[in-house]
Amino acid sequence: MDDISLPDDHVLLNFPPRLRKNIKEIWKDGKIGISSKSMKVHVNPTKASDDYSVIYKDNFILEIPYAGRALYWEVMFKDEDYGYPPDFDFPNDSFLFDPDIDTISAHMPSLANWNINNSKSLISVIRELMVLYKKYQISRLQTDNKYSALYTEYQYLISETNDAENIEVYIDNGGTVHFFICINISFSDLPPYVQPMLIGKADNVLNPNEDTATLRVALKPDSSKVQSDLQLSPRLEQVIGSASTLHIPTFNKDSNNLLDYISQITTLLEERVEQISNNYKLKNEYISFIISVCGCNIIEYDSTLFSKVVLLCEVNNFYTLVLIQIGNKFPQEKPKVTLRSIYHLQHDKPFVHNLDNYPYSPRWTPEEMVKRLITNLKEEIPNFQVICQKLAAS
Amino acid sequence: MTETISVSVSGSAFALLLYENIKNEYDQDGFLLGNVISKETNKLTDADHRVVNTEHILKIKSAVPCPQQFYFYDSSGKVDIDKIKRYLSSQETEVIGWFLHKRKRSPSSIKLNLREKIIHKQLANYFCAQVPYFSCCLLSAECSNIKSTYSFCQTFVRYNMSKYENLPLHIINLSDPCYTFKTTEPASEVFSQVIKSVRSSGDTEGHLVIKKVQDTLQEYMKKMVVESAKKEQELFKLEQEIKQIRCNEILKREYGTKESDQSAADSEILENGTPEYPENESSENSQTHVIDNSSDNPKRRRGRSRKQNSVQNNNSVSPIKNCDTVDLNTKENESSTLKQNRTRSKANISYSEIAQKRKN
Repeated sequence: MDDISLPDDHVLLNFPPRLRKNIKEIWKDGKIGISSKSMKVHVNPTKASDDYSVIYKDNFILEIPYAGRALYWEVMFKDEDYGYPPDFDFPNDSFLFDPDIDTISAHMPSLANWNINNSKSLISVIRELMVLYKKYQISRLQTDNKYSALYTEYQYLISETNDAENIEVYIDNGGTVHFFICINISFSDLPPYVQPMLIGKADNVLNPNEDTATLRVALKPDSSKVQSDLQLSPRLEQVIGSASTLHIPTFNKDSNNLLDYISQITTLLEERVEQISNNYKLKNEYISFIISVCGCNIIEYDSTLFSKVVLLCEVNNFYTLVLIQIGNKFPQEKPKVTLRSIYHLQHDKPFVHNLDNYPYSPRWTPEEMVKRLITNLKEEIPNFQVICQKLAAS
Repeated sequence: MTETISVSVSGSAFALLLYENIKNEYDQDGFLLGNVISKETNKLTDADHRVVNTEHILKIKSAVPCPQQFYFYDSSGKVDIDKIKRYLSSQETEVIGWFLHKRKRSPSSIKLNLREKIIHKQLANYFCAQVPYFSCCLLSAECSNIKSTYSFCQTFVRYNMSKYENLPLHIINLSDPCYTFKTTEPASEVFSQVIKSVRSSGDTEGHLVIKKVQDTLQEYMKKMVVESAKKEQELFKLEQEIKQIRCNEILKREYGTKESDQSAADSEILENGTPEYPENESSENSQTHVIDNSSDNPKRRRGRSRKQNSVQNNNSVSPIKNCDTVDLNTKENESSTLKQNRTRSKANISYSEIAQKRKN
């Protein structure tokens, strides 16, 4: 089975021309629900027919991410006229197994007023079906007595936050109830995503996708076993650290309810995000000041993450390379300054001297820090020169 | 007290249904005509208990296919009862089910989809007065790669207490051994009339009477066959005309806006690709047909090749895309009445009835 998540042009040729725009929208606008994954279209590879006639795929399976798993819905168009509205099937699922007569007319207006010329028709129908599916899962939670406690919790959660959009509920065959909750924090101030270099492989620029943080809580109604984990999108994982390093508290069913747990996790994440954005902003300021002050001396600097600057400084006709590295714990941690000689070698490598005692305080502004560092360098570089000459002499 | 429901269909009625399915290039739906026969058997067990077994048999006599998809329902699955009434007219009282023929589905996995379930519910509600066991027949057909083997798959489903359950199907086979008492079913009016005309001649010897019955019935059949052949030819002609008008409409619609949108017109023409059943299908179908329609074959073949040529050069008639137009309705009415006459004449008398009489 070929699953197609990227729209290449030759893939669309599998489908009848009249449907191509609608199907293209599935890729263009494919984000549905909370998950950062988008919908995929599964197409069985077609066999070549004997008379080489063109056989189009008018039945395909949509893979839709929901509550951490995938739903497989089949979409069928009629080959008599591709302008006719499609039909749907939900294999292995009791969703809409016994639909009411007004299911389509009342709950799926895009299907009742199907217009093939509107390229958003198919995607609107899918979204309406998703709404119905969510309602179906929640009604399962409501009608079955053993989930009554969970249902009341869910109701409480919804009433407090008014946020039914960001929660997906799924009850699997084993009776476990999965809550999939989207944590709504602004991640815009975080440093950008840097793709790790894969040595030996071609450098495809990968798309880290949108930033999402989702919390998954799986509960079994009778047992007290609860599984909870936090899933972060790649950029967040790179920047904040994976869920395990964050030390998220586990959900204890007896002590706290879902709402408290979610707010706990949210505050934790928010603090971390604020810390990192602050750090990033300060690093940015620090480097910018260095550039503005010693613009002519700069050899190179890190312009994405602002973690490193290399300067060529001259005092009394003696040139030395100054390497400033800023760590993650800035401003608490002092940036590491190393002086590197361009004339002298030690063990076949340029002579390096760490500058540990330059004036620094985390309470200063970056401007202040830079100014003090530069004045200190003016004194330290002649000292370094002396050290280098001593080394050369010995 | 047990109650069983099953479906029985005679060989020729089933053959008619399959023929209609194969003849159509696309998926098809339509109605099944027949009647419901209920049999009650009272058994007395050894312990002097009375056990009553009721058997309901949906006997299918004929099938009426709808001319196109979405004929009596719209995109939200709402059924238009008036349209069904107009289409079936007098045969509406004989409806005991509907059928769906799906091509391109693997025979083991055909089932009702979302909209079809909604339609089934509405039809069952509407026809529940005359047949409380309204069922849907799901059909699919498949042929092997070298077109040597054709497999047909059929299941009957009924909606009962929020579940769709399968019904057993029995195709009446003349050589079926019968080990129980045979219960006869009421004969149709036409049959009774023919028998009456034979009886009035007053022969008493058993085998002569039977021979006379057989001869009369066969002559009647021949007459019917000739009449229905004529009607079939008219029907085919009308269907061709409908197709032609539809193609013209499509061309008018596309080339009328040619100056505004060249690319849309080009894409529409190449839209459905070439028809999937190749040319020799149509000739095979007409061979299985009882009547000799040789005059029609070249016409149909011509129609097909015209379609195939047009895919290669975009100048001539373009292949199929059905659209509803007002002036097609009269043509469709004519063709539907012809269809009804044909089914009536064919289905009322069947060889199975003759053979049953012979056995008795």
